[in-house]
Amino acid sequence: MVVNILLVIAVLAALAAVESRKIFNSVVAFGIMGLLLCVTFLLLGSFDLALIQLAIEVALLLSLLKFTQATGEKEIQKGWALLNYLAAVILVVVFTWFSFDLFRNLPGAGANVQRFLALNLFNLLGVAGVVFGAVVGAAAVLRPKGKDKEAGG
Amino acid sequence: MMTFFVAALLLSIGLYCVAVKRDLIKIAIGIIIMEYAITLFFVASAPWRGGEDYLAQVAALTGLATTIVIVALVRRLYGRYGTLDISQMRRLKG
Repeated sequence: MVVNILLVIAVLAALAAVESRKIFNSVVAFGIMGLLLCVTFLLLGSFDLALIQLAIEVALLLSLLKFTQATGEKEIQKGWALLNYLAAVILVVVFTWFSFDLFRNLPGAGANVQRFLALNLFNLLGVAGVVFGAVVGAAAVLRPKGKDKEAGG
Repeated sequence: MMTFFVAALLLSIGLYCVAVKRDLIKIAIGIIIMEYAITLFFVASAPWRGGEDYLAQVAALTGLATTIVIVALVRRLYGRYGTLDISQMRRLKG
């Protein structure tokens, strides 16, 4: 039941992200959708996936928000500050409550760390390799001096 | 069953966003929404595959890699053209 409610809110947030006129609102709605999906993954029992999703979502949200700010869009409308703060507090409380409840109910959390590491070492190595490759790709795209200048644009 | 429906809905929303919108950030958001939908589908279908969610982890990792590169590409394109409107990027060749 809780999963269904979270999924409905996630769909509404996705619609808001797509149809919002301001990019800032779009990015914030997208962040809400991603965090709700993260909690949904926790509720469905995919703890590793929820952690990956949380890492992706936070990094992506911060990057997109900084980029949106760099594009110069005036994002905050006057008169909506109280509602914005209220929405932020509600989101943080709900997310923290769900996360705390679920992490508290994890079976044997923290007891089998060494065994987990031994069993999943190649898995972790693969994850690190993928992340390293992606970061190298992003660095190649974002390098300050490209070949296009030598070719004349 | 609701989860499958939501995954299909999210995939449709992302596809619509990529096909219709002209803003680069929204297009990136649409692609990432589609990635999330596919991950959600794999998570929801894990009980039918013996309860393992390795496919979902692989999908999430692929999504992580493509997301990083997509955001880098968006930043690069904005830095080069000074706009996020794809209809004004007329020098994309090769």
